[in-house]
Amino acid sequence: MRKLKIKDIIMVALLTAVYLVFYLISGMSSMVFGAFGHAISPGVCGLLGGCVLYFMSRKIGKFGQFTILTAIIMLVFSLMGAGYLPWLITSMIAAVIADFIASKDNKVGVWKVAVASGIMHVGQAWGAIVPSWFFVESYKKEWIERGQTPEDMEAMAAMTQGIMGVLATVVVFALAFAGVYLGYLILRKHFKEN
Amino acid sequence: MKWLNINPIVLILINILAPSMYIFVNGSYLQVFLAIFCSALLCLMGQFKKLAYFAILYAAMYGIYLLGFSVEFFRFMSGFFAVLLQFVPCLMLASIVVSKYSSTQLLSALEGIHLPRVLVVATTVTLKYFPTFRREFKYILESMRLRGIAFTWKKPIESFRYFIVPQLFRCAALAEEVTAAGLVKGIDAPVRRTSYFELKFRFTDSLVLCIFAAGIIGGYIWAA
Repeated sequence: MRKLKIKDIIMVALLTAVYLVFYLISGMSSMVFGAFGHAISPGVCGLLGGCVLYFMSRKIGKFGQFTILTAIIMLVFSLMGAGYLPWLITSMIAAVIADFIASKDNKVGVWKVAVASGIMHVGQAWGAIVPSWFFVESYKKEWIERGQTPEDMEAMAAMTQGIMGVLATVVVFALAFAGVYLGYLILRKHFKEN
Repeated sequence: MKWLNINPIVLILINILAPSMYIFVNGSYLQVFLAIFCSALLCLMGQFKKLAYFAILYAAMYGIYLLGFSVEFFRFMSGFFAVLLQFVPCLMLASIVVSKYSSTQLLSALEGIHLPRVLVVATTVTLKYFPTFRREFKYILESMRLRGIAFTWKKPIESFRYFIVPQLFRCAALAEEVTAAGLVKGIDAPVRRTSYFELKFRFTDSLVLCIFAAGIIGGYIWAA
């Protein structure tokens, strides 16, 4: 397994900045679709940021790339005062799995990168879905304390619990999967893909 | 007048700790306390322009939040802005961390909290790239204007391509430059890094942290 060099880490860091811009755009644009939009916002981010992940997998293609990208996002959000422990845990676990799937080298199949992106974004979405499945009361309490109204938190929990949580997971995976193929469509001539 | 100079690690620590405090302290109290505390810090550091900018942002967000109570369309957005509002004080401090301190100072500060060096270097590069990103985007727009190409909703994928492809390849080129500069400065040297900037923990830093802690403890006692 090829190890990340300092140049690779710096490139991941720069690409993370671009990815974060998509993260903020998707977060803002998804809110107009209400609670379900909020639940699937990582998928919208995956759709827009798929080309960043595809580019990263072709330019770097080393184990740890997805993990470092996610770790930087988590650290930046923590520095901005937006950290949330369950979100950090699910995101990091998913990023490590994504690395196992698509970071063997820079020639892995597009579908593998797409699956890795899907899992990575599902991990981010599960930061809201898992708490609402297993400890819904403390999840609602914390966000109401953080300024959400009880009605909105009920709506949010309804959109992430049970079958809606499963649906949100599927939608997020599908959007993130499509995002990598969008990236492939845009960038393939630059990488001479077969 | 001599403005307050705070160790960046203090601002980073406050930003990491503040959001977690919503579990222990009343949300409304914490929001007001953080807004006053961070505004006071910005004043003492002479960052009046930033303070004015964030005051306007806060007022605008609060306006949308209030609008949500009367206009149905804004209802869920109102909830979202209620959450965003509580990030504004932390964003104030984060904006100082990004703009006031150089990469070297940030590296030294982040190494002080014993994070892995890889993560420290990567996060510093990411934080410092945001202002550059804006400039790069302006260059892309300018190049597109010169070539007579425009962003259009009729061709979303084409428009997205015009934006993203130069940005990604610029990242790749920039990575080479930043790496070369970093290697010259011994960024990958397996020894403890020293810094030209002495980031000592001074009395004022302790005082700022003590005031922050007192505010949090006060809120906890008040809520109990």
